[in-house]
Amino acid sequence: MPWAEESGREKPFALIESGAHGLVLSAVNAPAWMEGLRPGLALADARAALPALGTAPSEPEHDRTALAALTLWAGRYGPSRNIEGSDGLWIDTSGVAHLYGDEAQMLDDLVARLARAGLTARAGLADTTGAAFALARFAARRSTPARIAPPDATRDALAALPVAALRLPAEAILLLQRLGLARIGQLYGLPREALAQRFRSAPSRHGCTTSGSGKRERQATLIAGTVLARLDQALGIAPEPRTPMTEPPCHLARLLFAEPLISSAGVVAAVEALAHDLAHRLETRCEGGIRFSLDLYRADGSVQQVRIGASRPCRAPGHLIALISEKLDALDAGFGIDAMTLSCLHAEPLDARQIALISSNANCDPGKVRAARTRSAPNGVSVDDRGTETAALIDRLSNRLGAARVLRLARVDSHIPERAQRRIPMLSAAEASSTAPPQFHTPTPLRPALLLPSPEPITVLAEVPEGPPLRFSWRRLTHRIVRAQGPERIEPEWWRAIGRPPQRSGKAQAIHLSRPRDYYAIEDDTGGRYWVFRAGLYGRDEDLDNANEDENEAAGPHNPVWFMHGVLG
Amino acid sequence: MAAARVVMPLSPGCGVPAKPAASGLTASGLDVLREQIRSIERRPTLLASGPGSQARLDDASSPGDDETVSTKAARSAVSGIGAWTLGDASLDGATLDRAIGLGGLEIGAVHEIKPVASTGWAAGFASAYHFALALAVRRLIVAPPADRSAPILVCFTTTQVAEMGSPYAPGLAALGLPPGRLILVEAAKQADVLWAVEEGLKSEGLALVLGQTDDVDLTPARRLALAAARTSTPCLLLTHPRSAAAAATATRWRIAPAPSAPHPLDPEAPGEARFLAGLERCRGSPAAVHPVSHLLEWCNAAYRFRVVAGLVDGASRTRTQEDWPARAVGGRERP
Repeated sequence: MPWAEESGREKPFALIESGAHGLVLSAVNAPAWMEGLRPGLALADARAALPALGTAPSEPEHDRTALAALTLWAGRYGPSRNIEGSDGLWIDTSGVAHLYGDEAQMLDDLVARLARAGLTARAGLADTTGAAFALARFAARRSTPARIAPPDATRDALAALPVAALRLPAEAILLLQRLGLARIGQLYGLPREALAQRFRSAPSRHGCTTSGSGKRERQATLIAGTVLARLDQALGIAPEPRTPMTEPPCHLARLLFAEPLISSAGVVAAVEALAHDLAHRLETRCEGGIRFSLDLYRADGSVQQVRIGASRPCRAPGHLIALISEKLDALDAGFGIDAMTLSCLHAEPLDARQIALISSNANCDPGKVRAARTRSAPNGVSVDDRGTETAALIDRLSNRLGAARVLRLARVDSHIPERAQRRIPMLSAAEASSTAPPQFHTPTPLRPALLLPSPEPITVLAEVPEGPPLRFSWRRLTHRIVRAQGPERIEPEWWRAIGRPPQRSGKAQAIHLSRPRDYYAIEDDTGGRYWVFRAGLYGRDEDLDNANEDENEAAGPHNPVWFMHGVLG
Repeated sequence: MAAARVVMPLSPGCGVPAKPAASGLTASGLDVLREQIRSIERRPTLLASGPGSQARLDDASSPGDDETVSTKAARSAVSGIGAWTLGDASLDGATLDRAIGLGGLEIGAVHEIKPVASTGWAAGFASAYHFALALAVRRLIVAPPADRSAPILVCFTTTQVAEMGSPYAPGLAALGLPPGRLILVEAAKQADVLWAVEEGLKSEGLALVLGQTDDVDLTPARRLALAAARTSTPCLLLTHPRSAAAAATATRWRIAPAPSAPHPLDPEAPGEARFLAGLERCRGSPAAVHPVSHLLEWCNAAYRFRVVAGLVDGASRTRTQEDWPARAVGGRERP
């Protein structure tokens, strides 16, 4: 950030944005603040007061991205964290402080690391998000201990802070100040019901208004409700749900390094240590992980993530290491890695039978696992071993090629050929839950083993009205038909035709979705076998499609259209 | 009768009298040599002895046959691996696999299947793909029971999927291949397809791996062959008709669609699928020198191939590479 460099040289600097009446300041640095400049001041006024003021346009989008990256980085202080407002972030540090000594040392570490990155940060620590927010932004003294509310002492810690620290809307703050309630401590003693009453009686900003007292009363009740809710949240009386940026892991293994790691051998060793640690944590809970995340916290403050998935619950360190090492090549250690975490994002119970099978290669390095996997004992492999082998194969394929590229076929109950199957990623949740493979009934009619992605229009010479094609051209080749079987009539699914207006898809798509199809299996004189269909019937279009006049005209009023749908082989 | 129709004798079981070890010094010396060649080529003994593998599927047809006895020992040595034959014993005792000059496909090896370049690209590819699927069905049928429920890995490139479509479950089911058994990989690059095929071959859980690429270089082909041999997982490679032949394959087939016979119930309708299958390479067999082509018909009800009678009677013609473009309608011509 440019202003951080500027602040080192103690020059007043401000970010500007366009306001309602010209350019205004959106943020100022410390020297500018000392000169009396504040966000919201018009740039012309600021320049008049301080001609040496350096400015740059503010870029809220970039700020947001940078804040998101910073939040990701903050995962080293706790996995559950997210952006707070436009210029802050929260971290749930439960159970983390002892890793840094105590809470004060942890906050010092956080602020010092950010300062080294050129960021001026204020941190607060408390039992609740609301109290931590208040302490970070409004605590009077800059010393760290003053910004930490001891457990169960939130009430006292907040008492001296201004009411603005409660994350209230501007009008509520104004109203409270009018009532003489400047400090949070003053709100503690107030009877709750009386608060709304006092708000109602408070002098309005515009003096006595005419627009009825009912609206004002409702507004006062609303503001009183907000104030009370925020106060309760800050004090921990009312719960405050927090949405973390990344889903909180069920199990977490963490490694902090005294010196940043640079060598890839070091990273591999760390991954192995983490995998064994995580496997132990999973084992004590009798669980196996489905999804894992490896986070590398780099010295420059950025984070690299590796996501891996497993097709069945797994906790064998060897398998985890093998899956991760597929992706380690793509990682960039940058200037070194400060910390690494391996977390299990989703776990499921893993029963004892599977434990025994997997732990046979549990304590191996990846090379040995790979060697064990490719051992040549085709006859000694039991059916269970095969299942494990296949699951491991699916994991490797999905993690390297992408989960969307490793598919299975599932049956859908539809007569429309392109809807009769669904392609589901092997790693999807549906696979994990359903153990029985889908059963396809063998259809009596002929079906191709390759279905074109979408039916392709062909030009056909055929008998009218219902004859099979005699000659057709497809992809610039003309074929003479010697044998044909058909027609097999497939009617459109009327409920879909009604539900989906045809203008969304292309013209050809609309035609073959909305008309009945007659399928023919045909063979040309060289033995090539094709599966084609005619959308619509000769001479009957006005009955079928009179609802879609425009479409009729585009396709020719009475001409059915022929499509190629697959090559039979 | 059966022995008389053999096209290319490739093993003692086919061409040499029944008990090779007892028929003198020359024969046994020949045997030793053959054995050495086989061991060099990493080919199980069983697979060279075609009729014996047939006997396993149809023991009743030739119970007293000496060949059966002599190959039983060999089969027990490779214990449990059924021979991957194209067809069962047909009615007159002349089995398809002997007629083709092949005792069944090698299990732990790579087999390359190429469409013929002369016919339309789509029809040729679909025909080769159909042939590969039929081989996969045969593999599931003749495999030991543990292998029959194992999954099949099918790897395509996305460009091929965009052009010809992807495997379609009802069509696979109609062929006899349970679609739920399929692990379908659609990779963006050829290199990814080859990697996935190799990973599949290294894994012991699979019954068969089918990969589609344009061509395979020497080193990848060798890697695939080694991986297939190590885990005894068969590998079928579907390659581009005009690319160079892959190295280290056990067999290479050149497949063209052929006009089918009329449907028995409807003379206007196409009958069972027919292939003009050229065996361009067969490891350890003279067929590699002179490509042989056969008109095969896939019986969808019996899940087996059949040699169309016209060609069996006339004994298959030996063809050279130059013949290929000229015989798109090969089934019609009688030698």
